[in-house]
Amino acid sequence: MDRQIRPIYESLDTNSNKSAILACNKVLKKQPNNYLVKALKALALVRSQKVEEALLLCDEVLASKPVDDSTLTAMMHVLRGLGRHMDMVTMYEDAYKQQPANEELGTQTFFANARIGNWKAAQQIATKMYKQFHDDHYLYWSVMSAVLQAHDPTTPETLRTVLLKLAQRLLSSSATPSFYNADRFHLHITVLRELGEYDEAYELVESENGKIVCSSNLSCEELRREIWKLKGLAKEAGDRAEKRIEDAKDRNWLEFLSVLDATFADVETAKAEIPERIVKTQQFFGKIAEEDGVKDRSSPLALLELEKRARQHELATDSSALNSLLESYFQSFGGKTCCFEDLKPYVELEGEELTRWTAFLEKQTAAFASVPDIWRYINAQKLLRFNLPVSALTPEAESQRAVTYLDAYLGGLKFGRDLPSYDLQPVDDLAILSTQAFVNAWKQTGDESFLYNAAALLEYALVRSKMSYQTRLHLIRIYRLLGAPSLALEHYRSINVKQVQNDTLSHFILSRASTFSLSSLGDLTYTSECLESSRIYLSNSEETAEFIVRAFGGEKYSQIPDFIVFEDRLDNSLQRDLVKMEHVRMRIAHEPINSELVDMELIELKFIFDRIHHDNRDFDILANYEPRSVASFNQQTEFLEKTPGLGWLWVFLKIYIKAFQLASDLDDTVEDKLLIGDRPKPNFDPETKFPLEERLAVKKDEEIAELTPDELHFYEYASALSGWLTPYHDYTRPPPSAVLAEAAKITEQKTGQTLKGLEIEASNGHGKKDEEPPVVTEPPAQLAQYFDVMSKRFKAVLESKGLPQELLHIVTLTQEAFLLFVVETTRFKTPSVVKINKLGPLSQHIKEIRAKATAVLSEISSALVSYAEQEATVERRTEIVAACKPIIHESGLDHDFVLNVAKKITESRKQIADGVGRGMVRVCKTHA
Amino acid sequence: MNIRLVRVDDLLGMQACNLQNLPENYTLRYYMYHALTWPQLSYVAEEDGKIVGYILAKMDGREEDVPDDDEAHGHVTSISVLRSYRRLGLAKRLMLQSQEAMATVYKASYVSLHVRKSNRAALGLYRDTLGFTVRDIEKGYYADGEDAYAMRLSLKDLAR
Repeated sequence: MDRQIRPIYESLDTNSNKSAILACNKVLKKQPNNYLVKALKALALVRSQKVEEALLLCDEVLASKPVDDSTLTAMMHVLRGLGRHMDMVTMYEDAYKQQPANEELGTQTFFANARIGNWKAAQQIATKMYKQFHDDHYLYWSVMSAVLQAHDPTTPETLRTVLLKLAQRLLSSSATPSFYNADRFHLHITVLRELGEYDEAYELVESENGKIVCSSNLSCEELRREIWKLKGLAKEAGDRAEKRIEDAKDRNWLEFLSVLDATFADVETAKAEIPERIVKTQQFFGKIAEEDGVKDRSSPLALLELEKRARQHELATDSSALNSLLESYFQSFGGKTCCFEDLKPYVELEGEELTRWTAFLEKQTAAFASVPDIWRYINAQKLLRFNLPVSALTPEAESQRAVTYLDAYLGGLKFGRDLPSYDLQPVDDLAILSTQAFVNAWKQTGDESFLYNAAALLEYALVRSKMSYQTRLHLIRIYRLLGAPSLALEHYRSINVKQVQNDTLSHFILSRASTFSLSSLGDLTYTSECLESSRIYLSNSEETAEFIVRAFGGEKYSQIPDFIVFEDRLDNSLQRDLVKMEHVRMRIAHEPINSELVDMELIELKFIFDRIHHDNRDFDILANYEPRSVASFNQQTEFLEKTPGLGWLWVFLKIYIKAFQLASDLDDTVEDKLLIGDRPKPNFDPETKFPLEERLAVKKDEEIAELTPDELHFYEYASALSGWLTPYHDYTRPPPSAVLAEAAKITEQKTGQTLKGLEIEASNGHGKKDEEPPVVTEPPAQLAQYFDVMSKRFKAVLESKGLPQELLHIVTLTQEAFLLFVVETTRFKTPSVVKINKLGPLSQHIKEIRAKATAVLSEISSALVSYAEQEATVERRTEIVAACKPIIHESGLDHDFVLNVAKKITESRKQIADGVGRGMVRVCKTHA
Repeated sequence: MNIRLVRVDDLLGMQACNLQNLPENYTLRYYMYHALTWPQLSYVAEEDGKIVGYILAKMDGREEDVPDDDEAHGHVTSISVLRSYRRLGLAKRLMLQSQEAMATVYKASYVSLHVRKSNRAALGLYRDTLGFTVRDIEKGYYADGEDAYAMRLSLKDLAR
């Protein structure tokens, strides 16, 4: 037996699925009822994407209710591959029922439930196992499961306390005290904390054993700190922290915060005491600051925080104290790179204080003698800039400043001459400052010249600091504004974004990416970037659940909630679905619009429409050195001042779900029968309980607020279109029985087997309908008008020399409107459908609108192509170089360097404008 | 500045530190494995809720269930501090915190790490500040072909 099975495993191990299937077939010939081999064959089939065949075998093995370890393990992989986690639970439950004395099966059943977050069942199994096998860790599994069930958002409020009480009762029944194991102890305190039993929790952490656990385990120590706080022991915590700071030389900021919190404890009731306490704390921090000198920033920062809080409570006594503290901090730490970030919360000054602070900072000159000098100067510039009033930010003043920053940058480069190639120049931030000053000047005037200056100087800074991601992120933003997406992508790829960064940073390049895609021409660069960045979500769903199971196995209870949060944050990431939406928008411009595309995307988008999203996008990574009187650099360089978020996603989901619904033959009953794998867990948002049709029709102001005016126009167009066509689709769509029969036929062709679980009623195709076809009405005027308006918008932006980004935005939305029209009218292209359903007049209307749309598209297309030509001329390049006069120097950042940047920009711009233009013609032709 | 144990959902914040780091590829799985297997060895440094540095470390050279193996030693997989938070002694604090746990929790006899030959700043920290010595040169250790110094520091004094 072993001799026959081994080659199968070997083939599977080496991913030779074909030979694994052959080896399975060989065994199955002789032993047609060998379920292990069937399970292994199913696995090989799943891995070779032969889902239909795998399903058949899979169901057969499940029906046999396997109990042996090898078959169960093989099936676990099969079911995971098919996304059928519920079946995995049932399989293990059945097996455990058959062999209730089998501890391993019990464990696996518990894990199967844990993988899908089925905490209620998990809790019951663990309790049962504890009674049966008398091992304490099953008791703690049970406690943890009860806590997790209580945390689950779908658990009703009233049940939560019941579950936590249950957890508490289970804990008290344990044979061994929880402090034997730090993680068990952590769980115990967590339960008490959530029940509000602070006294009991306090007693535990302050018991002799509790103290030992907390002192050696930071997670427990964090909990202890929290319990003290919840018990209102701010003063005691402050005393303790003072000792830690003084005796143990602990410099963790949390200790300093405890002292500060204690100083202002009961500020309402004990106001009279507080001035005295402030003086005491001042002396304490002052003493520590003296001892530490420049070795540690904690106490000088704590002194600043103390002064800030005293001012908030109107208890500050010395009006010059803040200035003195700031100056002294700058004296000590101005040569450290973090000084600006450190002081930012304390320098929102006005009046005399601001005057004194400004005068102090202006003493820092650009005459550097050392690297700390450079940082002192940079920190002073950042701090000065932070407080500049709007009146000081005229375009002239800003470009003057940009040049000053740049000169200091170039002057300071010599200090980084000997650094290794991957290191960053100490002066890099001066180039960023210069960029932001130019961008602020652009923002006020709309004059692109400022952006060219910024781009050229950043490109130069990148030559000197190859690994500076900050420089690249700035360039990406500017190149997107300038309509040079190939350059933006080049820089994005050079950052070498990996793993979770795909979730947090891909918005830089993939937000509204369909604007910059050439998928209509068959160039899938941006399309594949979407897929590439989305891989992390697959590895998350494959890996993280396994780690949750492992954490149970290793009794790492304190980590389990973190794993669950992490899995959820990635699984339901907003960026994931924003990218998905962009991918769909690119797909329809490239692929044939048929039922395969429509049905699949419809199901996926509907799943997304039920999610509760987390926004993991990192916008703070983009440094902001713009003055506090104007918008941040991130806001200034947003795509047409609108960053897509949840509202934007919701609008586009509504548009596309509606369109695909109309185009698709799948209704809910059919979808259920054809769906492979589990449906996502229902979520707790009451809004998702409304019928889908209602939800699709709702228009919300906060969602619309995230749209650009052109997108809003597109949204209105899409609503009018689907509203007009719905009755005809509903009348014409084949009945579910016919759709299922067709699906069965296809499965049979593929696998030679009939589709299981389908009873198809006898029907003769499109049976006679009872109702008369709906009367064809005139299309809403909005439809044809949309194309006229967009054509006008295009011309206006072209003539006013608006941002290339805006131009591309208008063009791609016009094309998208046409594609949406195609999606929703393909059904009526078949002459027999029109004839049987007597929809001749409809088909006439459709023809007219299509003709209108294609006329506008080809007009825009030729204008865009000739715009592309003009962009790539010598004159245009010369113009750009001339615009960059303020930054051109004799060597390094010289005329030739800038010319080269100008060349790259104009070429990239030509490529996208020309490509999008020609792509439109192609799209029109495909869907003529 | 606050130093605390790494949590799995820190991964989202830690990735910002990695942008500045030399691009070695550690998968999601690898991070999770560290956090789960040796939870006391990896730390993050936080400033106003932002992760500004971290150390990721593991144990090497012995089986989990043979605590007395003399060769049990810690290994620093990755240490990173945001550029704007350098020269504040942060890497040193992270390193000492992890070393302490290696010695007391896992009875490690020494700690090892790799560093790029050209990375003088890091080399200075390990050798001059923390007392590591170079044991070996590993040719072409890094993906881009650069050699690495394999360094070590005895933890005998820390063991309790």
